[in-house]
Formats: sequence, C-alpha cells, structure tokens
Amino acid sequence: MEASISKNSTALKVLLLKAIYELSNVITDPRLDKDELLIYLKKKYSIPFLKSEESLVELIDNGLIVQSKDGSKVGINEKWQQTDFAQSVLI
Amino acid sequence: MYVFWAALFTAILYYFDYRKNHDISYFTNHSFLAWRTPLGLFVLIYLAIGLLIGGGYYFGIDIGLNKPLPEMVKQFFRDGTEPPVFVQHIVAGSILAYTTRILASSKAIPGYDGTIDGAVESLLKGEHDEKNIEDIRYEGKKNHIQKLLRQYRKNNNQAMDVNILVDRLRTYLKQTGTYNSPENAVLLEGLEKETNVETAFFTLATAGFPKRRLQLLIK
Repeated sequence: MEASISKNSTALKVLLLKAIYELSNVITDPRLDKDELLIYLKKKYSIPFLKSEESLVELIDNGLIVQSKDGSKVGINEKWQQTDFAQSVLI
Repeated sequence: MYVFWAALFTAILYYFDYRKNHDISYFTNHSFLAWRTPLGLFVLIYLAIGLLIGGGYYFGIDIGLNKPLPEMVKQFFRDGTEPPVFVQHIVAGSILAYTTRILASSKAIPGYDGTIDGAVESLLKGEHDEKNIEDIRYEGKKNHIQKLLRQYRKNNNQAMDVNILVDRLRTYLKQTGTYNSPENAVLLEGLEKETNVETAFFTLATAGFPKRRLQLLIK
C-alpha cells in the first residue's frame, strides 16, 4: 500500500491531469508551460520533477496528453476518447 | 437577535467571497459550507437558529432570545447617547459574523482545507515534521479504508474485491456525469490493474477521491 503520491503512478497521473485543468484555461491545446506544471506539482504535492516528468511521458504515450512541437507546452488531447487507451477503459 | 444579524452578514460576506472566486467548488470544499465537518455543522445550526429568531422577531413572536445588549456592553455607550437597540444588534451581529467567517475560513488556520483531516494536519504541523504528518495521514486513510471494507463485508456477506469496486466506480462516475474525462479513465485503468482491494482504495484516496465518496462506493 502506498499513500505517497509520487510512488503511486495512477494517483500521480490523475493529479497531473487535474493540475492541467487548474492551471490552464484552454486545455485542449498544448498551451500550458510544462515547467509551470512540474513546479505546481512539486509545490502542491511535493512530487519530484523526475516523477512528474515520467508520468507526463506515460500520458503522452497513451495519447491523453499532447505536447507542442518543441515539447515545452502541454495540453489535453482533444480526441483522447478515440485513443486505444480510452477505448480499452470506457465501456 | 445578534445571531440573526450575524447569519445575515455571514451570508453577505460569503456572497462576496463567491463573487471573488467564481467557483462553486471553492464554496463547498473550502468554506464552512463544507457542512459535514463539525465546524460546518455548527455554523449550519447557528444559521438556522439565527433565521428562526430573526423571523420570529419580525412576526412579533418573542421566543425569549431577543434580549438587548448586556449591561457591560451598554456601559460603553453610557455617557453618550445610546444607539437604538436595532443598531446595537447590527454592530454585534456583524462582529460575530466576521469572527465566525474568519474562524471558519482557511485564514484562521493556515493550510486548513475545510476537512477534518486538514484541520488535524494543520494543527499538528507546528509541532511535527512532514514525515509524521505523512504517517498520520497514512494511518488515518488505512483505518478508514479498513472500516469501509468491514462494513461492506457485514452488509453483503461477501468481501469487496477490485471488480466490484471498479464496477461501482463506473456507475458512480456515470451518474455524476464525469465518466468521460481523461483523469477518470486513467483512474479506472489503474484500478483495474490492481489485485488487492485495499491497495485500490488507497489509490483512490491518494488521487484525491474524498472520503465521503469512498463511503458511497461501499453502500
């Protein structure tokens, strides 16, 4: 059992997605500064940058999050419901 | 009567708070309107009494609580012209309202988020280091989850398992209309992979799923 957020990858991913809602007005466009997101998670939940980054990469791989071409900005994939990941979960 | 004015002023103060924050969740999560906490419950009762007395006063029903200010406070006005009782009530009421609001809001206790956990945590923060708080939080969650699981076993004559939990969570999220959101998809996917139901509950709690909603999943 793990109550620490940084060691619970599911919880970390959930909080990361929620943080995007909180920090960004336009979420379905990669407009949120990645560093801002990482610093927010560090400040609010004391999650190490490396852990947040890992979780972010995982969400990008799953297609839930998209990033800008230079990789500095992130946002939620508008078509996330069409990803394999979503198809396997949503019934 | 003071209580009536206090209730009225508190409501007005909260209206301005709401205008400032533009977010209804601020209301329900971060204020005494999170009424399920002891403090919130107290304020709710107090508002009810206030409105009752106020209503009674204006309809001419004296239930014995409409007393003027105590002698001690009156002393203050003694030499000058004493303001009408009406004004005294407003002044006393507004003071009471503002004090209550400050006490009830996060400003009184740093880090207080309107929950019992939050209150205990912020009070402990002064004396304990982060690690201890983490331990207390962990123990609190563990006890709570184990209690819920026992409750389920008692009511249903079978132990809760991950499948039941995920099913119930799906139903719950569909009912609340938050099923189709990426964070809940991640949550469901993560929980489906768990093998231990206690761990699954821990993940839910750690991901910020409120205690009260965990209870709903057990019913």
